[in-house]
Order: sequence, then C-alpha cells, then structure tokens
Amino acid sequence: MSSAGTSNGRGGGAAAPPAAGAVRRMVMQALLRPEAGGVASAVLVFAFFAVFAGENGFLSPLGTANWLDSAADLGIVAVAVGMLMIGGEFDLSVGSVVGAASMIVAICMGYFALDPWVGIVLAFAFAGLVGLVNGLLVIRTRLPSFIVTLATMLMVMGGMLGVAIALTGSSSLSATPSGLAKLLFAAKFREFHVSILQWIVLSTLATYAMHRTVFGNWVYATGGNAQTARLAGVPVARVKVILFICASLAAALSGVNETLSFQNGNITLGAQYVFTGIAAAVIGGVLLTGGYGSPVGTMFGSVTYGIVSLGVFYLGWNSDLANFFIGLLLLLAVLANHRLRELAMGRR
Amino acid sequence: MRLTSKARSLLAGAAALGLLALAWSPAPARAEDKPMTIAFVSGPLNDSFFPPLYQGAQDAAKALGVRLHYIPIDEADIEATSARTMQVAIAQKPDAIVVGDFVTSVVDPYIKQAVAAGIPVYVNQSGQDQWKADGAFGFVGQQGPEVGRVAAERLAGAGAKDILCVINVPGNPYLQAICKGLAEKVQQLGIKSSNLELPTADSTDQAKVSRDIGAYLQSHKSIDGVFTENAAVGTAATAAVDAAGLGGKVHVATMEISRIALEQIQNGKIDFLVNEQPYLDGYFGVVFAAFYAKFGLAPVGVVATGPSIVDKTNIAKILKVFDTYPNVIGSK
Repeated sequence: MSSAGTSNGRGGGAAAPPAAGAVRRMVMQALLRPEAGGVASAVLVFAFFAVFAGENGFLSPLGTANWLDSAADLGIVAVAVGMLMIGGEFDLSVGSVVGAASMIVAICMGYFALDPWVGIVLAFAFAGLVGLVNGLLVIRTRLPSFIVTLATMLMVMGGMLGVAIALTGSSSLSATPSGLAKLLFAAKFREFHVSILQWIVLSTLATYAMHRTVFGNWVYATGGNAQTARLAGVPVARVKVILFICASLAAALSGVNETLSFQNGNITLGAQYVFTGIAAAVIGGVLLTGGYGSPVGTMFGSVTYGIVSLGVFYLGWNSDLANFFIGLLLLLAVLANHRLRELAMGRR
Repeated sequence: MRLTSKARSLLAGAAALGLLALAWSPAPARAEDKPMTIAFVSGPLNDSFFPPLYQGAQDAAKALGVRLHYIPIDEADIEATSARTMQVAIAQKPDAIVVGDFVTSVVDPYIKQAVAAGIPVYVNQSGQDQWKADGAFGFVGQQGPEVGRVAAERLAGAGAKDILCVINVPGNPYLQAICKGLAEKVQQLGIKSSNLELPTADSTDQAKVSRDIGAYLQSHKSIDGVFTENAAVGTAATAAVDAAGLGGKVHVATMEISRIALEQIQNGKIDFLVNEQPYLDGYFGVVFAAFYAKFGLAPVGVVATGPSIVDKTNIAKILKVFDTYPNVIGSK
C-alpha cells in the first residue's frame, strides 16, 4: 500500500540481520512503521463499506471520487497539522484560517471584483502571518500551543467576521473563478477534484521533507524532546515557527479550494478541521505527545476518515444515526490500529 | 419682526426638525438627551441568514435615531446562549427587546421576566405560537412549518414524488419544524419524504455537504425532490445532482437567496427559492418595537414576512434589487 518513503526518522532504519525468515521479519518491520496502523484502518473501513454499501454506489466511480475528494480536502490540512503534532505542538486555529481565507478571496473577488489572484495572494499572506504569530507566541510565551492557538482561532474568526461585516455587510459572498486560478484550485475530471492531486503532491513533499532532509530529523527531535534537541543544536524555535506557518498555509489552500469550487465564500468554512485534522493524524499513527508519526500515515488517516464520514450515507440506513456510526467506526479503526502496533512491538 | 421669505422657510424647517426631534426624543420620564435603546436578540452573523436581518435592523435604527444593541446567540450552543443573551438584554434595561424565539422552552421564561420587569418584548422570526402567552406585544416573521408546507406543495406540483428535506444545523428546532411541516403536507398529498440531518462536522463544509447529499441520492434512488434550508446547501445539492447525472430528474428548491442560487433559478437547476425576507424581520422588528415603546402603538397580531417565493416569474426584479442593494435580499 505505502509506496512513498522508505525510512521513517525514528528507528525505521534499524536493519534486521539477513537470515532465515527474512520475509517474516520484513512483515514485522512493516508493521512497526508508524503508518502501518493508518493503512490497516483504511483497508478495514474500505472493506466494511465495500461489503455493506458496495451495491448502493460506494464502489462506483462517483462513489470513489466522493471519498477520495473527502480524504483529499481533509488530508491537505491534516498532513501539515500532523507534521506540527510530530513537532510537539497543536494548532486549533487552522479551521478559522480556512474560513478567513475563504472570506478574503470572496471579498476581493466577489465583492470588489478584483483579479482572483489578489484575493488568493492576500489569503495566503494572511495565513502565513497567522502561522508566524502562532509560532512566535508559542515560543516567546512558552504557553501551551493548545491555549495560544485557541485564542488566535477566536481572534481570527471574530476579527474576520468584523472586517467582513464592516466592508460588505455579510459573512457569505459569491466568487466565480476563471482562468488559471480555476484550473489550479477548482478544476475537476469527472468528479475527481484537483485537490486530490494537491494532496498527493503535498503529502509526497512532506514525506520527503520528514524522512530525507535534516529538517525532518529536526522535527522528530523537537517533538521527541525539545530540551535535548536544543542541546544537540537543533534550532527548535525556527522548526516550530516553520511548522505553524505550514499548517496555516495548508488551511488557506483548503479555503481557497473550496471557495472557488463552490463559488461561494463563507466565514464558517473549515470549522470541522479543529477536530478532524487532529483525528486524521492520530488515526494515521501520529502521537498526541509528539515525536512520532509520518505524513504517509496521516494520508491514510485522512482516507479512513474520508471513507467513514461519507460511507455512512451509502449504507442506505437511517441518516439520523450517521454521527453515531462515524464515531463508532473511528473508534474501532483506532483500536485496531493501536492493537496492531502493540502486537508488532510485543513481538519485536 | 419682519422676516424674509427665506428666513421664514428656514425657521419653518427648523421647527419641523424640532418637532421630529421631539417626536423621537425618549419618553418624558426619562433623561431628555438619552436616545431610545432597543436590544435585539437574534442569530449570529456568521450564519448567512442573519446579515440581511441585521442590515434591516440597523437601517431602521438609523432612520428612527434609536440605539440598537444586537446580541447574537451561538448556534453551536443554542440553548445556553439563548438564555444568556436574554439575560444580557434584560440587564441592559432597554426601552424594548426584540427577540428571535428559536428555542421556545428556553426563551419563553425570559420573555415573561422581561415583560414583568416593564420592558416590552416583540417576538421576531420564530415563536409564532408562543408570543401571545408570553405577554409579548406582537410578532413579525414566518411560521416554520408553513415554509415546509409551501415547499412540499410546489415540489409536488413540479412532479416530485419522494422529497428529501436536508437539515443543515443538526438539532436546530426551527429548521426541524420546517422539515416537519414538509412531511405533513407530503403525507396529505399522498407522496413520500425523508429527512437528512447532516453530521455536525460537515455542516459548514460545502464540498462535503454536496458529497453527503450525492451519496444519499445514490443509495436512495427513488428521491426526485430535494429541499434545503440555506442557499449554500441548495447549491451543494444541485452540484450533487449534476455529479450523479440526475439533472432534470431531481427537482431542487431551497430557502435563502445567494447570487449563485439566483443564477441557478435562471438556468433551471433550482426550481424555486423560499425568500424569508430577513431584512423585513429586522427592519419591522425595530420599527414596531420603537413605536410601541414610544407611542404604545403596534400592528395587531402577526405580521407575516414569509414565505415568499422567488422563481422564474419574478427573478428579474429580485436579481436587480440583489445587485443594487447589498444585504437587502441577500449578500452579494
């Protein structure tokens, strides 16, 4: 299943001596990789819906496009959130940045009829600034990022609403894209959206950065133990600030995508990522305490969440219970994931 | 003393202005220089229904020279904040309160409390069955179930036999009442309907909402009508219908108005829009409250602001006003 990345910054490179039962050892080693649980969860939930909802269209091209689109939308944000979590920090403000980016694009393009790129560039610039502020606040104040980004989340949300109402009197505006902006952020082939491509590119870049560059080692070291990392010469502050900026920029990309795809900007867009972004990373094997996990794992965590949250509607059951089943299936997926890791660890 | 005609007309103008100012100065018992204050408890501005309502309330307040305190509830925590916002409104001792009575069991006791404290209350948008018993002096708005009934009737008229009613804010009693009204009418008409209550995590995600509706349509193939309760969900539904290749088979209608929704009326993707006219809710809410507080005058009973319908017959006029006056019909 996993094609990208051959070593993970933590222990994956520990080579087993070539001997009899090498295949078995290779399997065990694969199971020890941080993304193993995420892959298992994704396969599990896919099998479940293929069996119970396959005939209702879950396996059709449209059904496949639907869950891939859902996974991609979430995965774009989750991969950056996951990297930040590996680096030992949280960002609760990503959801509000999605909504703010959406409003910036819609205000510039829909309300003031400016070139699409003005809004898009402003949205990313704003997101970068929020990330920078998040990072600097966390570094300077040494407060938990959970609290700092909760505060910036509320400030971004409220501030953007105030600006939007003052400028346009509204919190929901139309924005119809054209040209290159449409191609990059809103194109689709049948129902497969360009966001799937963005997601794969970003996840590949993240995998490369985390496993093949010094920066990746710094991230794992920072999240594992910031104190030790600092002593070892890792620029902990810079690493964290960069990770916060990446998370915000990913959120902005999501906001721009959705605004241009649906030709409508709304300040509440993205509110769900506070939970689902973190959930996807954790399902994919990222530890809440930091220092462990991988972008590939987060990718499969997003797939798991995408399949489950959409699949329930293919079951043809009472939709009032949709939330219940999403919760239940996620719990089962994470339990299976956890058990697998325990088994693998226990046998090592 | 002789006055030139110019001076005389100036004086007359000044006198007229003085009279107007007098008419809108507060009640004699109150401080002369203090303008009338109206507390307006209603929905949050991040819900696209409310900016036009807020605009209407502001425009009325400006025209009348009254001070407006708009106090929004939080839809994510609707019961607790409905109580808290009313407490805040009462504590401000305004000349009148206008309140959207969305959760009647929570809000009604506070309406009674405000009335008992001598603050006149005007009920707005929701709470049509309760306002009288609560001691409020009037109601402006529409009845949720009536919106559902009208929608069912029109969708059935277009040929729909199995209607899906999509609730985008899970647990919102007002939106649920609308789907209930739809279900009742559908039963009378001898056709079918079902509800789709979107998961909380999806309700603010247009793309996911579209896919949820698409998945539901794929697994419930007899559905040939979709009714949604805000414009973004409505356009998400038309996207789902298009993606599933069901254009022409599934009729879509929605509450609320947006630019895209209006365009989709023109190209036939949406059959009709229910215009709840929130601007009127806000405007009349403030005007009636101010008149009552000042003069004791108010329209008798219910002033209905909806449901009014936008379809191909009146789209030209609506579209023109939509583009000319931002936030009167909907946001640009």
